Amino acid sequence: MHEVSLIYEVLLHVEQASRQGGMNKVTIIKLTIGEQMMVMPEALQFAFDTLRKGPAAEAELKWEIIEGIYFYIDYIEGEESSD
Amino acid sequence: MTKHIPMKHDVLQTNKTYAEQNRTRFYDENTFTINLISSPGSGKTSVLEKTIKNLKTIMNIGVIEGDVATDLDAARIAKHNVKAVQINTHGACHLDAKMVAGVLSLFPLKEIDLMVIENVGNLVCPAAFDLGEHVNVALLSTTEGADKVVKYPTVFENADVVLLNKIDLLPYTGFDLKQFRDDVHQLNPDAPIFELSAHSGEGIGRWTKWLKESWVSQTQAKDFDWT
Ligand SMILES: Nc1nc2c(ncn2[C@@H]2O[C@H](COP(=O)(O)OP(=O)(O)O)[C@@H](O)[C@H]2O)c(=O)[nH]1
Ligand SMILES: [Mg+2]
Repeated sequence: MHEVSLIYEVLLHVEQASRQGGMNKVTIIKLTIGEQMMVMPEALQFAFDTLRKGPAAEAELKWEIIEGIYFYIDYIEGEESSD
Repeated sequence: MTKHIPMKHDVLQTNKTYAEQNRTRFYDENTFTINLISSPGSGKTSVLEKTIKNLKTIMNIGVIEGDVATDLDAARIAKHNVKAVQINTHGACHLDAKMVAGVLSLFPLKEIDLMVIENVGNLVCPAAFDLGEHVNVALLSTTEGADKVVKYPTVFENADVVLLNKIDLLPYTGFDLKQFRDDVHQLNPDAPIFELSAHSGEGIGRWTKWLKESWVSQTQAKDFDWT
């Protein structure tokens, strides 16, 4: 259930980073998640599908699980603004 | 053109920042703070009520109650003439440090020696959110089964102290005490375990003695802090 608040934060930061980086459409969001965060992949995807908006509305969410209590946004990939 | 933006952004950072601010506040105001975590119905509020009865005469206590909805628990605590503030998370399964920061101004923190934060009933989510507390308390009850320690290891790994409640029901629940003790020791060798019953009162004294001593040593450590 905490997946929702985590994804909410992710979307805020992704939107900010994509705007600053001149990216108008985000295609990939890559996360690194600590196993001890007890995050459920299905719930994470569900939260993302529910909350996705703005430049990340059509992005694909990817993640890698590591040991520990972490929740990082690794990188984003997307299309550069043409203007 | 495809673009790659490296971020390495810690999503928990916002919570960590608020938690550090809370911790500084608690430190400055001499408020010893505990974060009480268990699944719903294990007896957090009941144990807290007994704890209050025991310590009320020697410490000023404040309580922050976290629940998805209602202020029933804050009302239960307020009956003991202790200042209690309810936070409703409206669906969120845990308290975060910002929610706690938002209610601190409702307390006369300078006068409060012990702040108890009763987290939302859940053995999963609260573990990931530091609130700025000094002590993490994980509570399990004998009706839940001893296997919950290994099934929900993060809460028990991060605990500074582990409570087992409802030992009055041991004869009926088939709770495996040995497995419970072994698993807690395995995950968290340093955490003391207190076995107690909020109903009969058994074991409450040992727990409150530990709590009082932790408070005293925290306060003394501060007095001797020369930096
Ligand atoms: N038999 C027994 N019942 C308990 C004990 N502690 C709490 N309860 C009962 O367990 C239920 C849930 O208690 P409560 O304090 O509201 O749990 P919380 O949801 O964790 O705050 C209530 O019906 C309590 O009366 C105990 O030590 N023994
Ligand atoms: Mg309660």
